[in-house]
Amino acid sequence: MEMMSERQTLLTVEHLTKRYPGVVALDDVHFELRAGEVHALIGENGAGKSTLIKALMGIIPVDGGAFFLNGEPASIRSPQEAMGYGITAVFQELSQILDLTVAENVFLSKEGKKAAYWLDRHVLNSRTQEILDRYNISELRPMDMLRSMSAAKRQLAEIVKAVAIEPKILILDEPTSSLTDTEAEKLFDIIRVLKADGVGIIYISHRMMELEQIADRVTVLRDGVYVGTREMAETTMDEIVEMMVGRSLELYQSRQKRPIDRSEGCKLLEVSGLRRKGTFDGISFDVYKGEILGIAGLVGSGRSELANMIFGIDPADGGEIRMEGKPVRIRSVQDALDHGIAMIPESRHQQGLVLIHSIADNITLPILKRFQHNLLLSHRKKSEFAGGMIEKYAVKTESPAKIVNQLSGGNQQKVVVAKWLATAPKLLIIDEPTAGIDVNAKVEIHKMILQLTELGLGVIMISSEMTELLNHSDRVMIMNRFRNLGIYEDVDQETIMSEIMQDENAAAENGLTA
Amino acid sequence: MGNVTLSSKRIDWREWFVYIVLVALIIGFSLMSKAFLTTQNFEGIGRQIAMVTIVALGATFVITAGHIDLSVGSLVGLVGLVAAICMRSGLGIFLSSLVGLAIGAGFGVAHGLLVTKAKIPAFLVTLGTMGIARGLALTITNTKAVIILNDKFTTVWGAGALGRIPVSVVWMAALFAVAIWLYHFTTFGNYVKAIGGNPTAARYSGIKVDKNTMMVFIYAGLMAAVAGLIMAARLKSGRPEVGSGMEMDAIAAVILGGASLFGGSGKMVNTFIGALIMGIIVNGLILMGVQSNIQEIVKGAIIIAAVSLGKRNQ
Repeated sequence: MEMMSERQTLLTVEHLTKRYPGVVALDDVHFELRAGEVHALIGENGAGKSTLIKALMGIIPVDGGAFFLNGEPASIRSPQEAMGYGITAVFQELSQILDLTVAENVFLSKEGKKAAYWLDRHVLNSRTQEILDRYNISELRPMDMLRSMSAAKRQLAEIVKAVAIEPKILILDEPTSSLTDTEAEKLFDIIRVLKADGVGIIYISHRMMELEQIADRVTVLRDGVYVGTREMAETTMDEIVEMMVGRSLELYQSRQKRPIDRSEGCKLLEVSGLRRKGTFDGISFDVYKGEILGIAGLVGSGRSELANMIFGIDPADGGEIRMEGKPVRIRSVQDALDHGIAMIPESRHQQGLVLIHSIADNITLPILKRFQHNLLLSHRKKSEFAGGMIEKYAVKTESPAKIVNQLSGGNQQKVVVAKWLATAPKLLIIDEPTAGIDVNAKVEIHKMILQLTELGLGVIMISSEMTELLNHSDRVMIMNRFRNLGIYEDVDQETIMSEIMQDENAAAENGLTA
Repeated sequence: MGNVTLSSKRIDWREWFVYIVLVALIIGFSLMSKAFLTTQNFEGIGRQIAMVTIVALGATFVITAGHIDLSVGSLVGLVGLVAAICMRSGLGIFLSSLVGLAIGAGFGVAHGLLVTKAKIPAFLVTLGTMGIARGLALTITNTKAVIILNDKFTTVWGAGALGRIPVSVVWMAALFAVAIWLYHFTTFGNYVKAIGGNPTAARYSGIKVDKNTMMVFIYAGLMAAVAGLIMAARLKSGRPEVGSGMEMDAIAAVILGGASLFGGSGKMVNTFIGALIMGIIVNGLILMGVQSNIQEIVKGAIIIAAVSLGKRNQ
């Protein structure tokens, strides 16, 4: 700690102000970053984190305030100027060119402009390999195509690209949102190397647990206002959460185990021996009414694929699905909906919403037929219905006609939740229900789901966030390599990881590496 | 979130943009030519834009669904020619028209299958069928025109009039009304917008993306076929070379009307205004005695200027 505070100050932000018409996004904000520290920047969605980052990257102009780099006043008015000061960022929503190799992607910005046509592929690859070795990243090879890689590996590739330019200040915007806990560990190893090199890291995350692991200091913003900065070692989660929301929350308290009636008559979904060519070789499990079945597993273990199979996106080609005891055939999403199955998909932007359409259009999309009478679709009825859902699920908006694009992440997710609950499902599959949304919205969404289970809704919940999974599931199914490793009523993180590791080891011994 | 007031004002202004352009053109040409603002002249404009508008109704659906159909201009020529041949061989108005419509629908089915099942981009598929349809038309009669002697056919489809209103304009109005209904007041229209806005989210919402995409291409083919029949009736002959370039005018009308070229949104009324604007530009320039080559240049420049001015700055 002594060492840490003696480190020189890399960046100081003073009195930073940014106004948008009708709203002050940043109001006299202060921020300071030292060399070799991980400085977490946190706050709810809309607190001003992104605006601060964009100002620092020169993406948006500011209305007041100053930046100092190593004590010298600095003018940052364009991304090029930011780059010139050694500031770079890895954003949450990646915009990569998927038909490049890891090496090509790494040198896209750095060497791209001056030497792309002259750079030898071998030189590119060997330089990339040097970087990978330096950060001990064995998961990537320079020649791998981005398109063939998982979201997690692409994220890793993007981080490699950022560190390749040897930045002085690295901004990581929710770097772990698409990573599992093990993959996040890998990222933390990279961060530790960067810290040792004296790089200052601004770290944005909604995952409280990982801040304790990786952050040295934390600065909290709320509604565009600077709330305070704390040394991580001298603060508590409760204090940080209180700083963020102005009150303490029940999110981080474990929920009491509920009694679930698991008699035969209360069985909602029964999956037996479900197969799909290339992935599932007979998977079986069940969900009872009013129960939340959590699914734990690494990225690539088949969790989302299982959800897609039951929901009819990629239908099964063998085995049986029963709803309330009756066998059902699910060949399409429409079939799933007809049998009372709904799914809140993994990617809000890609699978959940038509972003350029209104809240009303999005909420009513799966049930649109209800609003067509005598060959006429009633936009008034659509809008009225959506208005009711907006109220019920506390979506913050002035009108159902508002374009979804203009909502915050948490509100967008509430629209997705409302859209699927509007179908009045018996079984709800939720894939990463609270990824990348703020604490308040998380709590609200958890509450909604819990309330619905009281009324008999069965839920399958996939989450990479262990806290969420363990706190909210009645039972947890562990998955690996497209198989069910077991369903537990009482389980902790260690058990889950050791089960998965054992399965991986067994696979390796049999020469069946995933 | 706070810039709601301003951005909604801005969007309002953009929504009216196409009408502002229309009014500006009407005022401008009225000042420059006395013959412009007359009932007779507007009858002429109506006849002139009827076919492009009908083709543009189909194009609005295709573009909203996130695709493009380049074949419609060639289809206009092919359908008109085949209908003329059918008439000559004594098939009668009804059957000859039906054959023409079937050709349009058939091409639509082929487009739909190639786009949804073979996953070939619509641009390439319809670029191919654009050549195929035109080539077929030119080959069938060895580039010769086929005269239609049957007055009933020409009256019903194009040359007749309902009171003072040309029959082609009546067809346009009727099909326009159907298009508004389909686009704005049916689940189909909403599904098409959702598919164009985000095909993955549409699929996850239980929408049959392939089926609806197929219907969109069939509809576009049918509209091209109707335009082809009207064209043949007005020319009192099937001519293999007609309709060339009409796909571009139709696309321009849709985009002038403010529909997103990337799909997901549009307004049927604005497509009509877009087609009307283009008709007025050509008509006004003719009245001013501008040569047809120069007309094309002016038309192109006005389209680019209008679209860039009306673009949302995002």
